[in-house]
Amino acid sequence: MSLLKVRELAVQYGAVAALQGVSLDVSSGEVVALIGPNGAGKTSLLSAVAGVVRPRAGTIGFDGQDLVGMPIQKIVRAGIALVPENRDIFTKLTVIENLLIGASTRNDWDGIAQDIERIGELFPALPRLFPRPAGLLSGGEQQMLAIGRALMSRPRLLMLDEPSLGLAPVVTDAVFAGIRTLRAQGMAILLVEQNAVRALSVCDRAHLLSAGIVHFTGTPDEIAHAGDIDAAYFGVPSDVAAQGSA
Amino acid sequence: MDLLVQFIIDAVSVGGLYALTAIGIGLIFGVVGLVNFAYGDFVMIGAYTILLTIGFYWPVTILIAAIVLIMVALAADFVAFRPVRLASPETLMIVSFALSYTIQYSYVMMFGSLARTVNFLPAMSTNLEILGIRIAGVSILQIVATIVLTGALAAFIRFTRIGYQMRAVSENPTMARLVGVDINKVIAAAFIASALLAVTVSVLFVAQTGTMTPFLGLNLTIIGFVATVIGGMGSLVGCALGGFLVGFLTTLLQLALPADLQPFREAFVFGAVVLMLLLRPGGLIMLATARERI
Repeated sequence: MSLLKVRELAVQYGAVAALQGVSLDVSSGEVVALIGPNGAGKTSLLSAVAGVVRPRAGTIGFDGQDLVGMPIQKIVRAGIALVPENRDIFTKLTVIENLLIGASTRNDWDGIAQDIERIGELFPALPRLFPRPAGLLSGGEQQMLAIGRALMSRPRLLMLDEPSLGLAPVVTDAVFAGIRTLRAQGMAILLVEQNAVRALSVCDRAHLLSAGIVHFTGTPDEIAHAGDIDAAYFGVPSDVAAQGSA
Repeated sequence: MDLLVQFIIDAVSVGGLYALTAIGIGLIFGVVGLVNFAYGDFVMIGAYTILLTIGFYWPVTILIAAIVLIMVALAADFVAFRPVRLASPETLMIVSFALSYTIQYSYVMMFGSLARTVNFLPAMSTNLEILGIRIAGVSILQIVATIVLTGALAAFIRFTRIGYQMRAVSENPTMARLVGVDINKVIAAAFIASALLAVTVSVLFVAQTGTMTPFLGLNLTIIGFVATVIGGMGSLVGCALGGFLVGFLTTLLQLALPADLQPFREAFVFGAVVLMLLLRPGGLIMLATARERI
């Protein structure tokens, strides 16, 4: 049963069509990756689902509710959390305040305290940084904090936009280790990544998006074996992609 | 020596009044991105409410004025500012001008434009003698009110849930909404806080001058605005600092300028602002976010 159901979604910025009729599903407990080159419309899709951008056409269903036109705060309450591309952590708030603000839709303080503890276990680098202003964190720490902040709303669908962007490989490993743990815990994730190898290594299914259209859909194996596509869009030799999915 | 102490007390008490005004303007600017030029008119409404309810025991008068101003501020947000929430800062500013004139001329239509005397807290205008220095009671009230209110506001912003939500909205409103912050609630809280600052300014202003006109808000808004520009838009510490600086400058010029030049005192104050903008366009305390925008 699909949790998120996007049908024929079109997003337009002035004269520029960012998405031209994209359909995709994310089921409970499933990790779906959205890969493709810069400007493919990946971020536009997440923005439309999160309610930041209003689509020109198409429907977005989440657990039976229609999300199009719904205020952002209600979408968060419905169970969708976005970790944006540039992380957008609140630099002037402390790390713990960033986590607390992620729970703005909740009032169950015991549950909030438990979730903060759980996020500390997910990203062991975070707890000792709690009292620090978040602006002083490194890129990797900020990414972990942004994911932690998103988890604080107890989402049923987590949307991650380019979690590896600008991070050193070792740091990206730590972030993806967290994503794998979330996947094992049954969190539904919609993952946008330019780094296809990384994305294919954690997802159940992937959609290849280019110029606002889905060009290919399949499991990581299927995508890895459609070598031409990898070469055309990422310049990644197919054997590397296959390695990533192993 | 006495003269110096006298000067410092004057400067601090005038500066405190300006600082409270500047913080009220700066707080709304920080959270909503709105330079509220109707802020001084809120103070005017507060002053008139005090005039109307002066017969009551004074805390009741202040309480009524506070309630009226909170309702005025919330109504202003709801009617005037919420419909243009996502508009550019320039549009917001023009809306606030419109609101300001609406308030002023509604008052003139209803009550006329004559200045009225308000004999509020007459005990405050008597002078106290402390260690041989004569201090106006209202000066002490101004200094105490400034310290208590800025302290309370700082603690509120630093330690409460609405407080960190305010800071988050101020830094990145879209992201704040994306983590589920009820942005209208946070903005309403900011308007309530600014109304409480405004009512304090009303009380101090009326107690000090003993008069009010429908146009008293304009001068106050401009001074408060200038103080926020000097201090750094969006930084509350900067606003307070800017307010004290303008107060200090005004008091100094009053003392130092020859009598012929006294009528042009404001020209010197605003001249200092121009100089400030040339030398340090971001204000004394420049915010990291403001710096990125330049």
